[in-house]
Amino acid sequence: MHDREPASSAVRASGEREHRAWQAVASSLESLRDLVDLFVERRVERTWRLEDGRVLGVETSLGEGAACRWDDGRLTSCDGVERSRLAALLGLVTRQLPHVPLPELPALPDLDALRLPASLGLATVRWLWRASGVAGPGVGSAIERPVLVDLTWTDGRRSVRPWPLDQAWPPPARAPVKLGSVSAGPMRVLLSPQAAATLFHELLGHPLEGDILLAGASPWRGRQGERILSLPLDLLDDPTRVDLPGGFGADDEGTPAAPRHLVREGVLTGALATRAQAASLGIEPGNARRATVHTPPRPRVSNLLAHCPGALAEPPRNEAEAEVEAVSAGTIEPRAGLVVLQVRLAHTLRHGRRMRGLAPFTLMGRLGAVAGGLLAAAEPAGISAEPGWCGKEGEVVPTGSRSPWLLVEGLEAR
Amino acid sequence: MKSDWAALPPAMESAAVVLAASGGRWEVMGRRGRTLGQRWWAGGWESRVAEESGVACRVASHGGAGFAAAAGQGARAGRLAADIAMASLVSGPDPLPPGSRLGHAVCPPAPVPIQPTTLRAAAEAQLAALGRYREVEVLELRLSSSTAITQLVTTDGHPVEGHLGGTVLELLLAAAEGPARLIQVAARELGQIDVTTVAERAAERVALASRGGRAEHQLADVTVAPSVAAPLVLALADRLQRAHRDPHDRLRTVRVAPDWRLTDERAGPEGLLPQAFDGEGLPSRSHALLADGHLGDPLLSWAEAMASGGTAGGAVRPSFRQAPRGGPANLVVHPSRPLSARALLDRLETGFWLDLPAGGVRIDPAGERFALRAAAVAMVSGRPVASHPQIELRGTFRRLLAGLAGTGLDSQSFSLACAVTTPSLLFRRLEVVS
Repeated sequence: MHDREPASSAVRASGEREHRAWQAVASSLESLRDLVDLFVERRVERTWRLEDGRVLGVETSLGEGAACRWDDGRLTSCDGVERSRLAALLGLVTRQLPHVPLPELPALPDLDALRLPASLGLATVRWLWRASGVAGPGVGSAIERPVLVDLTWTDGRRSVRPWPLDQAWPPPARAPVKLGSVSAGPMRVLLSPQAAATLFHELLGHPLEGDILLAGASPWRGRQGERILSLPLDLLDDPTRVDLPGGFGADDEGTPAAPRHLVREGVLTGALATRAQAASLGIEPGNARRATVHTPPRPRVSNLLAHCPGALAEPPRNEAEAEVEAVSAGTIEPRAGLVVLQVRLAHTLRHGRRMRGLAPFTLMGRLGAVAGGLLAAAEPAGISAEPGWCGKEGEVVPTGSRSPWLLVEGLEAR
Repeated sequence: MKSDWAALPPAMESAAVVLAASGGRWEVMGRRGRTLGQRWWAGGWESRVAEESGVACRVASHGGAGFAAAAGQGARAGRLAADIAMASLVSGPDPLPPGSRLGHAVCPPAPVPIQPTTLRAAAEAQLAALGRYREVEVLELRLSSSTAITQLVTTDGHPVEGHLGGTVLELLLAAAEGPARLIQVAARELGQIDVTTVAERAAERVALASRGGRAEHQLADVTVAPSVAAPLVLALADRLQRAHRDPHDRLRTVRVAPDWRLTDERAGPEGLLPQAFDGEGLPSRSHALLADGHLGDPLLSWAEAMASGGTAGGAVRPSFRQAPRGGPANLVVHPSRPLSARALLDRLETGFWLDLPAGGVRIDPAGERFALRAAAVAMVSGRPVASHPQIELRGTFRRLLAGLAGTGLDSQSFSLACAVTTPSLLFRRLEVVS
């Protein structure tokens, strides 16, 4: 099912040496009875601002910091990883602090070293490297993630990808110059893999995050084992896909990464959890992600992979009124029971042919109607290149996806 | 001068030492901040104490300019930032303002830091106050309080120092029926938030448009409450910045309604977030962005001003990690011929009153059109006739500039990408979509 793309990421399996070092930290901290875990991170971001291919400026930011979680629900965090800072964070004197194996900073690349095609016509290029470690009672792990490049264009397109770039991964589609207006109303639409992935992310990804389930804010609460989709679709959250932006070797609580089925053949079978929610939900942890050292780990989508046995050989354009080529954002409003997609680029279809481009519009649908309105999936499945960043509570993490084309009814253009 | 550096945090001092040896012109900026947070959600509390700090270096040398930043307060952070800035010079003009231009504006004194227990008590009091309104369910409460000190030192000396602080309360509430609503209350200090008043007003607002049908697609007059006006004003200010960069931008020639008086009051005393100096050390001052029916000057950093012939003093740095750029910091819409809430509604012969935005302002790729969803009440001759839990307000920025027909007396402040203080605003003929 999940035929792996060529591993294009610079991530490597965390070495045994790093793991042992973090496990040694964990052993040393066992006497701190109130400590849940110590999380230490280094990150590097280098941004080039471009105009007509010329570099106008380079900005480099080195981030390093640490955070402690405590039994009473407190998160204390600081920038800087000097031993005195780490000791103060843990409530120790410096000489009591064990050796903390900080990830080694990478060599800073220049723009040429990124080997980006000059034809891309970019406005900014951001190179992001991030490595962490976590230690707590029974847990000690180094955490590695793919190196990413975040690309923006002057016309507002944006894409985040693992670096070095897989040359086969195309940039986001450019909008035609002449655009018509969408006719408001219910619409049977054909979603491209990128648009379909955004729909899955909102419709199933966020509502299956453990904190949302336990708060009673998910429409899928209490429906495990039920058929919720009209297609026999499989949906998997897979952080081991380090060729996609949301990959990691271990989650931010140190649980080794593992793929997890959320839906099997249209039936709800799983959810995403940190250690805090796992027992209540009766599932394994492994989905904790932190946006920064200053934010707590929350259950988050990593890479959502959708697969539909018996998918059509090609997109059924003759059965849809419009083809949605790119979505700039999506949201779910669980209480109102709505899923919303902001369409960046779409085309009207007639007799299976694209007729005219449509100016950006909103697609909105009731959760039940959309989940029951998945009519067909079609090849070729594709990896999504945009938008790639997912925000929750203002905390932003990179995510990836792979999805087939999707024919959907139950959505309304507005 | 070295004795001055010794008084700086180690990160700034070490960066200054490295850069002073380079022979070029340079600037070191340091920021230390502390944020306390309390979050109530799903019946439990999360508590957060974050100490954020870092140093940023800009350097101009050998016909090039460089920038780098590093987190932390230690000497190593300063040395790293300085070394990387020196090693990443890109050909271009010197972006640093001359030392003779640097200095302070008069600003309110630094806010007094509060303790986590004080913040928790305030959050619990707010929760208790909301508990009196049984028709409203509290889904989530977030209360955060921040203080920060920013210091700047340059080749020419003249160290400057400024303080910032603020408190933000966010409530996710829902009536028995209807969507969840996010309400934000922002103040300079925790003590300025009256939990009883906040609860009373929040309960009223959430209940108001919790039920109702869809509105027909139409052009209509709308009065937007401060909560809806604020993100629109910020989007407009950002769009004006973009217009100033393009001499062919059509927004530069649009008619501006005389009621618009939009100012970046970064020197205060008005607005949520006055500051002593801009993002590169120039004394803060008031910048008129819209006044007397015209566009004002853009907000520019020194480098942008030198390149365009404009006036510097409008630089911002959202964090030490970013180099300064021109942009809004403390936006204030000054009421022009202000009207009471009743008078504003009376001016809506047929139209909508909007409150409680859902999500942010969306802007099309061309930057011409905006869209924002919010709750709405349909009004006829100043009287409510129907409620709509969610409509979408759409229009062009040209219309937003030309269509302002009235301002209220009810100014409120919000902490968005920058601080925004605005009253209710009445616009003629914007698009309403259900």
